[in-house]
Amino acid sequence: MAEEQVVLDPGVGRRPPRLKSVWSHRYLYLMAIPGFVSVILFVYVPLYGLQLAFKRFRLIDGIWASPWIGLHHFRILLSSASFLQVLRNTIEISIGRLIFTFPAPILLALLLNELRNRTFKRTVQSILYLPHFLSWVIMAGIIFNVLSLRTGVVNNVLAEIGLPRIMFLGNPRAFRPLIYGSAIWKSAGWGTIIYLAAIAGIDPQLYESAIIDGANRLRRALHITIPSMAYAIVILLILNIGNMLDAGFDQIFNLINPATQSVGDIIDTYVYRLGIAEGRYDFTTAVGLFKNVFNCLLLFGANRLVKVFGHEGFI
Amino acid sequence: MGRLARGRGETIFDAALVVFFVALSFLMIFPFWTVLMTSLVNIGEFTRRPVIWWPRDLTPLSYQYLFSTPRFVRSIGISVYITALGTLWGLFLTSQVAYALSKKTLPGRNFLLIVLTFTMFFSGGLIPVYLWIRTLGLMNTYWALILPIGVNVWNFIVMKAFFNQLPQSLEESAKMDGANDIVVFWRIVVPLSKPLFATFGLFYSVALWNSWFPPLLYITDRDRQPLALVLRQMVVSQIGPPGEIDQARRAARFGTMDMFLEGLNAAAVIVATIPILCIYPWLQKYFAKGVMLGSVKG
Repeated sequence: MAEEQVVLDPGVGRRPPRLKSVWSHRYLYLMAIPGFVSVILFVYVPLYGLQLAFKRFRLIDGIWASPWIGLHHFRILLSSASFLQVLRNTIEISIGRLIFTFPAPILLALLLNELRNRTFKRTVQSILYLPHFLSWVIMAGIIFNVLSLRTGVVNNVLAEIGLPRIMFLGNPRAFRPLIYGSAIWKSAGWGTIIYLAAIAGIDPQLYESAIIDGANRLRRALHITIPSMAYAIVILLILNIGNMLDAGFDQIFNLINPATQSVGDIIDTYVYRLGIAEGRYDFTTAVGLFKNVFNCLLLFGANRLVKVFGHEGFI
Repeated sequence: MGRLARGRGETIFDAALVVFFVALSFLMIFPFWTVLMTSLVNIGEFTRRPVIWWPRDLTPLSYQYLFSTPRFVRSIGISVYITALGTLWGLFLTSQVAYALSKKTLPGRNFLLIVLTFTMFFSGGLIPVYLWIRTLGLMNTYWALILPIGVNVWNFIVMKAFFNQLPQSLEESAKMDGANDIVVFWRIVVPLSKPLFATFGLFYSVALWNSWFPPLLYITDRDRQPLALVLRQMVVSQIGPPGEIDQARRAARFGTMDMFLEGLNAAAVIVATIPILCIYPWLQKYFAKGVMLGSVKG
């Protein structure tokens, strides 16, 4: 971050002594103290718990006094069939999201941009944005109501027109499409905002000269609108890749059930189940640490890769 | 500009686009409508009619039942309390830090920025934080939900950028008159930043109102759980209606008409959604601005 040293001292160009400067800013430090205390207390201090990843946790000993066991948990982790299955699910779902969910707001923004009637456009936007503000618990309540096998409106209509009812919720084959579909429903509309902002920044003259050159709407979209969104797309792609091992806990945790666990269990649900519900704190801390380190590597790796290809990264 | 020679193809495309968006909007709205209708009918109508566009026999029975259970009513109060307190706490902490670090002359500013930015990329993870909250003795207290909100880095970045672009002259003249930074912040900066505080107040409120995972971790006492968690128990864990009132009282109040789970769940979903719908016009206006600001400056 480029910093200019602004010298308030009237003694031209002479830096005030460091301590004096600190003293003159004392009220600002005072203001920052509560926030930093909170960050230290609730983000930095818990980091000491990470040592559990290398320890065998004994409740009577507490975290500090529990014995070290080196990389034991990580060895178990990487040789456990259940974890490898969970890791595979996580990566597959994340890739599925990149393929099915990620392009949806881009496409939607392009189409919204083509709407001519402003009132209509605004109304549509209001409707598309709404689910973003509701929690996945609320969304799950709605999804279960609508897709229920016996009473859901979708299956009622299928039955009414003589088709067999479909099991949407307790069906391993339907689970991932359900995840992608409901993710689009909840967030594709809101996701358009950042792309629409990019589109709004386009110089109208570009379009005008393109029209004069005889470019039709498809060509204008391809050669003007899409390139203008490239930067936003790249940044969001990096951030998505950096969250590869997250795969959307809030959504999956509320939509999963025992029947869909085999295809839907991801690292975070696994950590919750084994850690909070079964009390295996040491092992699940190792799983969490593994995930966190891996995510960081992916984030910086993707950022690096983007720079190699000549784009601007975000760090 | 579009008035230039609009061909037949273009007109068809425009029409198709409108049809597409009407259909999409219907798809988005219809599930909400269905849930609303489910909450307003009796079990007979619910099981007999495949699609309920409008109730034949509109009844508030599901709502009456929900609001007759003390746990549900209490959970709403708890949610309001946590949302209000947490919003104030989040706004207070984040804005103070953002203001202090918006001053480029502050010694050690870069170090402090790094301390904050680090939290964006790395955290202890679920288990260490959980164990720490337990060690602090915060289980089953609302502090476990409010205190860890702390400083949100994204909000911090946007707020800092906002404070940076405020005109400095007012602040400087106040300081000439002998006011210190804290006084300047409360007397001059806060009144100038009302839209900012409105925006982030809404940010925090919606997040806190919707928040169910920290309560799931930290509030195990059934009588202290907020609405979002009670709702989750109803719709996800299928743990029937909260704090069921006993059969005799139910029969006395509601007759022999049986409650049905789908109706109660739907009513609970609607109750949890209504406050968000009420502030939705402002949400849309301010959130969009917040995202823009974040994407430009961040």
